[in-house]
Amino acid sequence: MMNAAIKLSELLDMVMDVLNDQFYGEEYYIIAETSDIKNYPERSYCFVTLVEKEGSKILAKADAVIWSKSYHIISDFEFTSGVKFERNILLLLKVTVDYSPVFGLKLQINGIDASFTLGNIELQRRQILNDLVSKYPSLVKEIEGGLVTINKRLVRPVIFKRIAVISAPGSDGLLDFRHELEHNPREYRYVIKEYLCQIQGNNAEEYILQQMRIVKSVKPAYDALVVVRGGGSQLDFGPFDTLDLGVEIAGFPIPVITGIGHERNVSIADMVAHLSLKTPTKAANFLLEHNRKAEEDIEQLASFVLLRSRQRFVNEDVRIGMMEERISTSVRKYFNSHLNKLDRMQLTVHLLNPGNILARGFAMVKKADRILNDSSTIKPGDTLEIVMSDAIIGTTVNQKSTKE
Amino acid sequence: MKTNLTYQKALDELNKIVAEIDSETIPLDQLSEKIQRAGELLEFCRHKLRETEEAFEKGLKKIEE
Repeated sequence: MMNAAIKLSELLDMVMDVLNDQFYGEEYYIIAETSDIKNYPERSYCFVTLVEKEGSKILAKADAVIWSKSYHIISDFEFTSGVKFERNILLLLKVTVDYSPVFGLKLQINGIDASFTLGNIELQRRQILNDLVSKYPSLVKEIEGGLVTINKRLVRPVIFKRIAVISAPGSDGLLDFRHELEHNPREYRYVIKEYLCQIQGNNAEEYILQQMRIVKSVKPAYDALVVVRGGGSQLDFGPFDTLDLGVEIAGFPIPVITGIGHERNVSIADMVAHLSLKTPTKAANFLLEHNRKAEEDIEQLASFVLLRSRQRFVNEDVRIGMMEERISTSVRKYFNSHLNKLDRMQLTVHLLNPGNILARGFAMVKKADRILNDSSTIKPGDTLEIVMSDAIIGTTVNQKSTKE
Repeated sequence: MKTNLTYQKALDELNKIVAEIDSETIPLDQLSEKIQRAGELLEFCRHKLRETEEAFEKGLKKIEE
């Protein structure tokens, strides 16, 4: 044994030679999961532990490194996939195998395939969606490529006043949201109740569900439940892409508004909630805008009522005026009509006045003091009196000829 | 003037008077009485209208404060 002893470095050099023969410069595409990451952004390098797991059993493990010349692939990946580069993500990596006697075997990562990860996440999300639709048909339906849920179909209150907010303690998103609502230009006052819990990490889903159940039980009921996080776009969804949370939101009795912000994707929570907005600020603006429109509608109604009422007064005034006119016209007509009657009567009386008749040349004929209407009692030789307008003539009849 | 006279009742009565005058069913002797009554009713209506309008505008000012 002692003769064959060599230095460690010599042995490892041999190992290195063998490995280099096989692997030097060869690029491989591997699928592996990140299990630990030590990132040094100031130095532009990152150490990653990669594993392959079956359930909880680790089948393979390797140390990997991203050197400065490839460091940009991390931000490229995050940008393209919208996923944060962190542990427990399945990745498709372009690697080369490096071995050095000092540092051992390391995989050098030169590329990360964003679309693989994205596709994977999309796949998982799709599966959860399918679960939702098939297992909870009373809560979620897929119609024409879109989702319809109980929560989406809730009728919005006339105004939003009492708001429950679920967020992480100290979250920038929560601060932004509150600020927007508490300093709004129209001075609307909102009652905001915070329900704080961890919204990322392993048990976040359960914490959020817990808070939601509390919110649900509060009476009188809130006008809306708003879920916010971050101060801007986030890179992955964590608990918001889970089945149980999706179920709870889909069937929640109060409109759920999400402002959990994401670079480019939409989580399950966003898809089943009443309304999903990109950022907490936008969520606040929605609430403001809704109330503003309600105020506008009320003011319009008030204006209308005012206008109509004033119009009514004018109309009634006119009506009274017209009534007055009618009376005056009618009275005049009455008088005219009666005056006419009187005039006619006067004329008739005038005409029928015997004196006037005589004056027109007619004469009355009397015999023995009786006025005669006809000549039946007149014989020649009779004495008659002819009464004229100015005299009475005594006369004797000479002859009589009757009209045919 | 009857105490339970309303704007609407006054208008109705005025309409009736006008109809009577128009149809000349009123004897002349009662005409001046009717005309006087009409005058009272018109006065009443005008007054009621003005009163209501004032109350309305006053109520409005209160709301706007």
